[in-house]
Amino acid sequence: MGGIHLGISAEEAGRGYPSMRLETAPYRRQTSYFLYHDCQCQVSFRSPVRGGRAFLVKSENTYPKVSYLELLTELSGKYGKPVESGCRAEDEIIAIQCTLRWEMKGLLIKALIRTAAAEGGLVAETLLAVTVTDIRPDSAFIGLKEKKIRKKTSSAGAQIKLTWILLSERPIRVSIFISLNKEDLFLHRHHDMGGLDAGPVDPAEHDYTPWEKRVDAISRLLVGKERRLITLDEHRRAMEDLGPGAYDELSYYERWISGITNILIEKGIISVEELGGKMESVKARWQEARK
Amino acid sequence: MSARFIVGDRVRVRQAYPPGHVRTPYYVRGKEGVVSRMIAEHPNPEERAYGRDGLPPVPVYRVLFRQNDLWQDYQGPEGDTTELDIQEHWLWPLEEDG
Repeated sequence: MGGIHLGISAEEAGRGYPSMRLETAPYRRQTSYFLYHDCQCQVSFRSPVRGGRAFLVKSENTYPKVSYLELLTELSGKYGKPVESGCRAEDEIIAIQCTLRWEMKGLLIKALIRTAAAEGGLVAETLLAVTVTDIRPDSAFIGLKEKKIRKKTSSAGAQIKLTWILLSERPIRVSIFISLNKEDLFLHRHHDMGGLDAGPVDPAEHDYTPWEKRVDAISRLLVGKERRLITLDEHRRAMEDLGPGAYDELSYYERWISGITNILIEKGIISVEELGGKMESVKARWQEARK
Repeated sequence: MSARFIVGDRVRVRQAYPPGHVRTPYYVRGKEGVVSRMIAEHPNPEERAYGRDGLPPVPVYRVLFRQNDLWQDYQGPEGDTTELDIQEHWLWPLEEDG
């Protein structure tokens, strides 16, 4: 058999993952399937499309055995137990295919996962296709543009390739990119993530750097009653407007200063050119100082 | 603006998904709760976020929810609750049963 030891039985899979069903191909006598994956696993759901919604699910568990079904468990952790699931596996060129279906409030999510291993290699390629269908009965209620209001259901899909590096002794990173359809954006904005998996919280205290303190001071001066140039509500809105991607990548005070900057430009308090010029001169001064 | 609800009123959070800045978290929309406190009247932050004055002020209530109502498969004790401050225009009265 190829480079991947498939060592989990259908019974074992059934006990470990009662919501999953592992079927063997009827024309094969093989009943033992397993993808060995001794590593730290991180699964990211991040939309590669502009305006798409990003999900992030992290698993810091080190599994003694991470089978393909672990991936399904991650998905289940994110979306809950699927209402329907089925997996089938075939050996020779090891191929596993899983279909999953979730029905959530207003959304129908279908995932099709296919995996095939390179012959004799330690690398398996996984193809994941996700379709999201908007099934809200009150689609008209969300205030979309009129042409979209008439469209009661819509769907979009994405196919994403990822590579699993198997049998790695070092912790490795596994990323899955799923693109969801734009309608999902209107369910809630990206920053409104209460209840989503977030992983462990690091409670360690840390000192603020001088620039962070300065950002805090700038914000207070702009909001304060002597000036009232911006409101805290505008500030919050501007940070939300950063959208998926920037919102996740920027640090806390980077989000603050980005939001403040956008509001000041929007209100005409500073111009893009003015800001750009100032940034250039500060950068030049800094480079001069480093020499 | 006079307050529409009093402490003890059963309410349902509007199940709406407007675009833009909103202060009602996604996970609580469409859920039932009980008004536990009248907070104050505030200019509407959903308007102020776009540079408008947010007037007239909107009453804000503290609403008590059962965790079991908010989260599917909630694992904690049955009596666990969550309290959230919610603006009046996000709440509907819930008729008493029977």
